[in-house]
Amino acid sequence: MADPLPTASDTRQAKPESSLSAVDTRYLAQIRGAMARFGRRSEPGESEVDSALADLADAATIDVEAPSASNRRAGRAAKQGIKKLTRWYLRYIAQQTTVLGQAATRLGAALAERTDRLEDTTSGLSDELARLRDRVERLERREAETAEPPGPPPKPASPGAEVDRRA
Amino acid sequence: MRIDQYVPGFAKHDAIGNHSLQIRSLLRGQGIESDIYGEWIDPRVASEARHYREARPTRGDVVIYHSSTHSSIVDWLLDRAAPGVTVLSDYHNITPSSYFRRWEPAAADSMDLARAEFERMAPVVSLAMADSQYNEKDLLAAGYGRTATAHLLVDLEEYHRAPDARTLERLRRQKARGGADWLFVGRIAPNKCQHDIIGAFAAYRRVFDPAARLTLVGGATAVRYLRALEQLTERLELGDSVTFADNVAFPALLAHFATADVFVCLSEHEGFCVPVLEAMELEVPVVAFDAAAVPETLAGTGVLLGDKDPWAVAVAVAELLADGDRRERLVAAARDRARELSLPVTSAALLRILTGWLAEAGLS
Repeated sequence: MADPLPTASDTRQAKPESSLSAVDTRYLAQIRGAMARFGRRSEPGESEVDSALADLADAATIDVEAPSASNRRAGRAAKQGIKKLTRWYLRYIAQQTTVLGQAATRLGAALAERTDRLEDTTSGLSDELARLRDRVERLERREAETAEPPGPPPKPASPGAEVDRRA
Repeated sequence: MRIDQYVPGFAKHDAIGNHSLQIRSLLRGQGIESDIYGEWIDPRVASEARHYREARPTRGDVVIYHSSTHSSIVDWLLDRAAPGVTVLSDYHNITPSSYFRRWEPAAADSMDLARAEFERMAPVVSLAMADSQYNEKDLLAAGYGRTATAHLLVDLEEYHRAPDARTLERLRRQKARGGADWLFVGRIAPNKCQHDIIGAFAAYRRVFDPAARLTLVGGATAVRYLRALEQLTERLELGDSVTFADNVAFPALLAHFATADVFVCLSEHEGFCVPVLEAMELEVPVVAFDAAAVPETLAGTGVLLGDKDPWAVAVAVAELLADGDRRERLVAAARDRARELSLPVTSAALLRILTGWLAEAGLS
């Protein structure tokens, strides 16, 4: 192994969450929100459509707080300045986009539900069709069993009759 | 009699690939003929294994199937089990598909197939070995009759080779600027929960250590998940402090361990977790979520968390890094635990299980 390296020396003792500043508390809430979205696992039996709808619902809320981190102080200041100047405009656009996203989610959910209902109906009809086919076959079998035995074969038609039919 | 191993994917520097190579050495050392067959074989290690369709198991032979993912080997083996080929299983766990359904539906389907194959094999497997007791419980629940825990064979001596000099130099230069180095090693996959690590790191960096860095080493098995992680990093304004390191060669991996201050694992599903063992061996203190086989591998030699809340994890790391004595104690205990999982110990245990079973079956 390589020479031992110094471990972090600038780590301060842990402090309670209640002592965090308002800005840090907001940031922590932002992290927790993101973790909740990531952590969602598919429920047993959840379809791809359900999963996609859940993702759409997550993405439907537009965040106007664009990241403003930068390695350079001037870059960070410029980003924060632009953010302040454009906040009213972005918020206006974001509100409409969020409403659009939510509407799309509702539409998707409604379509998925309708598709599910149609699939259920189709499945029910298939069962009904199978039952009816079975019944018809049974009836046909029964009819064949109870029918009188066939009589003697019909006489071959006379050549004259053939001629008559063609006439 | 010969004992051959069948591996769905045989790759270089892969835990299961290395494990099967070690088993082959053990068997050959006992004078038993043994080869490795795979469905997919990494061209870099093509000389070590052959495609399973080239195999010709005959009556009286024993085959060990390494169960971890979907493979057409299973049905092929089940067909051959009937004419007198004895099938053993070495179970490395199958990731529940629910983790992948949202990100990679095709991968999730494949995991469901793997689970079905795993259950289908239960009645024909004479002995099933598991990497951990956690995995063994899975075997028993699936109806496997005879089971045993045989830890993954990992040659920890390999980890004491020289790290890649250039990577080490680069990482040391970064370190000289201050800030703690967080490390996690493992495929970028939803069950490994790299998002939780990024969240905890963001909280830690904001409150405790603005110069801290996080390196996530591992190839992406879920590309959509990786893209989402990159967006998360951006959204949380972490800039260049988070590095996604794919295609890291083994010496470079050693450099990452050499400069890490803490190994943070918030994975929810691990059948053994080799990277945790690597960290223990390389004296990097571990902070981990108490889930799956991780607590068993750690055996109390790391900080185990019952809560993955970003703040809770950030505080746990901050407290650990601030307390040199505690860190030393944990690192020393972890080193001892790594000895218990070292190759001489685990290979002897595995051999005992195998030879014991062979003797009972009248095959030795």
